[in-house]
Amino acid sequence: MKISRTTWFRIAAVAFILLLAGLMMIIGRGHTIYLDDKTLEKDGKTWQALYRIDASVAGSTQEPQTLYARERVLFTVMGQKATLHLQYMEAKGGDKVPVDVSIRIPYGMDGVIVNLPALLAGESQDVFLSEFITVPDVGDTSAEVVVTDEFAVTDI
Amino acid sequence: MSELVRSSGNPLMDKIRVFAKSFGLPRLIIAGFLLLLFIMAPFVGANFFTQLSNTINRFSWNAVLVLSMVPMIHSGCGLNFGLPLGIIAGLLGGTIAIELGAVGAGSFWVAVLLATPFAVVFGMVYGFLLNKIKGGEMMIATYVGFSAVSLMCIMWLLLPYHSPNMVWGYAGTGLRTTISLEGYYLKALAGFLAINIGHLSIPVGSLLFFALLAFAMWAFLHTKTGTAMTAVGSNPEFAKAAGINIDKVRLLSVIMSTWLGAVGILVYEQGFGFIQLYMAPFNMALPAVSAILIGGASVNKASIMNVIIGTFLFQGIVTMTPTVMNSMIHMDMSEVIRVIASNGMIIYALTRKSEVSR
Amino acid sequence: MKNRKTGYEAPLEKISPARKVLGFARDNTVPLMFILICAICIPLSGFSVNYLLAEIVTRISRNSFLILSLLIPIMAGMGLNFGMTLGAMAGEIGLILVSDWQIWGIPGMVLAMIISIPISIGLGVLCGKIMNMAKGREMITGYIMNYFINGIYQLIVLYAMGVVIPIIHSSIILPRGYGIRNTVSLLAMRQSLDNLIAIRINGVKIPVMTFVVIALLCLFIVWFRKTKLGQDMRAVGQDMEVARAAGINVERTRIISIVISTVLAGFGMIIYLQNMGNLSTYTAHSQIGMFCIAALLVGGASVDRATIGNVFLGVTLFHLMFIVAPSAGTALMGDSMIGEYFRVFVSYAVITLALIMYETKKRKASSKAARELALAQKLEEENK
Repeated sequence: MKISRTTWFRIAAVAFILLLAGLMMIIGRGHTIYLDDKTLEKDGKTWQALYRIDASVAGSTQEPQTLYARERVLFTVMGQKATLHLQYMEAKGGDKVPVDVSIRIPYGMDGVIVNLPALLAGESQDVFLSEFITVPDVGDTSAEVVVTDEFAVTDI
Repeated sequence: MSELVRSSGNPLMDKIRVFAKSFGLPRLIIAGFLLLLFIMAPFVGANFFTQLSNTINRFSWNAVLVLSMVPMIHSGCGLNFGLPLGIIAGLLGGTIAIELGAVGAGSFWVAVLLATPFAVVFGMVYGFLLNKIKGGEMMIATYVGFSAVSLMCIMWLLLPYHSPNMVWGYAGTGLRTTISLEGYYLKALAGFLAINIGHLSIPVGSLLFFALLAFAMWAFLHTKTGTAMTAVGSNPEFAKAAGINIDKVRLLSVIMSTWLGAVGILVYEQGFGFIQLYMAPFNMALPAVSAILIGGASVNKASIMNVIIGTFLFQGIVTMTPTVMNSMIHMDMSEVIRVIASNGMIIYALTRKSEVSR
Repeated sequence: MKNRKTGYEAPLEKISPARKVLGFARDNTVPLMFILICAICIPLSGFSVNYLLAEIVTRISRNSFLILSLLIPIMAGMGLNFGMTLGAMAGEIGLILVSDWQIWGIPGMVLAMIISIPISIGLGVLCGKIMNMAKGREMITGYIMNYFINGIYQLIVLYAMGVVIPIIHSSIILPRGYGIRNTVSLLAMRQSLDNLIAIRINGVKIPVMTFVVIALLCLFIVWFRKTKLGQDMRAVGQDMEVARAAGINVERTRIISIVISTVLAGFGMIIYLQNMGNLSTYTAHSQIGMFCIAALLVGGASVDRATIGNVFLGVTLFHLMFIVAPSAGTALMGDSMIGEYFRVFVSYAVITLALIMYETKKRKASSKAARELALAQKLEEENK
């Protein structure tokens, strides 16, 4: 079976589009990162919460935020890698220590919680990273009426 | 019409196959589906007689609207997507009847009387327009219908109606969207000679009224003008050669269709119980069109039998699908099924060359 | 001027300036009428020029792509492609999946477009094939196809999604457990194309990147007209039988024109929705076809002739009217509902008028051709 030029072009076009789709799925995957400044206890080890952390995430739409002990802030980011610019103060009146860390976010997780004390202590990903599980809002169980009225006058 | 069906040697099988082919596959599917629903009804807890009554009831509401398709199909004006024009004439008749103070069952006849001049005028303008655009009737009819409905939306707000049953309470002017017919012509026809035995209730009055109109239509089609109308639709060259004034006949057919549409909506309202204004007439053409097509009509040939069978099948599906499906799979897919079935039917008809069955 | 069909040469007549003006007015009735309506309604509405300008820029950037998708079927003689809604539905399915998969921003948009391509092609082929079976009635068939495919769309989105088609996030599923909710938030990609390069002049935000994309589409259409396929389509649009005799596969060309239009409509719908930021799952596509066609006709296009200029003139005039009508209605009659009904009425009336003008012109041309043919035959007879 001789494959003509046109068929080659078509196969190439389809392959290109599929590759593009794959690329889009990777670079477009959005994640929500929750940064915690909380005391973490795991495997018998403890990491103390720090007094204050100034955090920003490269490429996020959110502005830099400040969190004190027991607080949590939120950043949204696109892509699998997030670069955090942190400045932490261990105790009140102490020095501000700047740290830049890059973390890899697993593709499957929509939201991830990063425990900053553990991260800053240099621990591995399975210690400081955990998944943020959204509990669907069970409150609103009123039957949602699906409007399929084609002729409602709507704005365009 | 009788396409060649290869003989299988068995005369009964051949007869069945010829019937199946001329009846059309989509219609067979729809009829079969309805039969299935009726059979399943008692098994899912729906009372057969209630369902039958519901279907007959809805049949009685819609039959005249579907009947209004016949004159225009016969004269070659195609499927009357401009039915909203006739419906508006009927709405004007109904609202003016109430405004003038007519009450009770008699108000129905007053409404018909008042709707007639509107229907005739609208029909004349509409027919004149259609004569100028032979060949593109259906698309233009659709948009004429839409433009008329949206224009009337403005009119319903502006026209000087004052009857407290019809206008908005606080403003005092402008008609409400739905007007209850309680005290007016609610069940004016249906209540007449109604049969109510247990679960079975048949609106004999409405059916009689429809039968009267259907018979009148059938009789008309056998008169000289009626046969001229059929000739214009199926064979325009022959009609011209025979000296028939095509434009005049088409105009007459449009006026008839518009008038029947006006009467049809009044019959629908007396069964349904409400006058629905504003955007309601918008999508009333499609169900009527698909009903007559389901009954076996084509774009340029339709018989009274098509009207009866089609309306029954269509309303049967509309009535039965929700109850049966809901009880069976707990999913209310009825509207989606109705949309797919009715529009699929119209597409089927549009893609045929001129053909008819029964 | 030689009539291509009959070979009859009409003698040249001198056209007086008055007749030229009348001719211009007759050919451009609809846009002129609209300019008149806008001229009356704009001062009545009380909106400032700046506000109107900002609104118009937004609407041009939002709707132009969709309206441009209508041009190719007109070129191929298929008339107004009421079936463009099929492409819109394909685009919406793409967006639902992309938002469920949490792909954000421009990549999300591009992915949605890619997903919509095979769906659009499938629907376009179906629509084209059915239109081929209903030659002469393409527009009404496309119109009914809308409702039919809408039923199938609802079957998929309202019933199959969540059950047969896996949806990850239950937040976009209806409380009953299957089927997508009435609205799907597109916040993650809202205005991502618009904001990519946006400049502000005098408080009016201009989404430069979106206009670049629209300009690319215009270039594509201009280039396409010159390709062999484009020339084939124009030939089919002029006269199907002559094209068939010239060896063009008429059926296939017609189907391709519908497929291209459907794919472009899918992309256009995605661009439209990324600007809105919100998807009304079941009603977003329902009126879009009618409004786009009305806008194109307002720009001076007809059922058998449409240019890129028509698109931009149309979208400006039509949307101007659309914005000012309710307020003008309030100023005139004290009821904004009148203004809203009025703009719906005008949209439908414009389409009705254009269809009527097209049909009457077609019949006049065919009877004129018949007369010329008869005349030519008579001359031939006399010269024998």
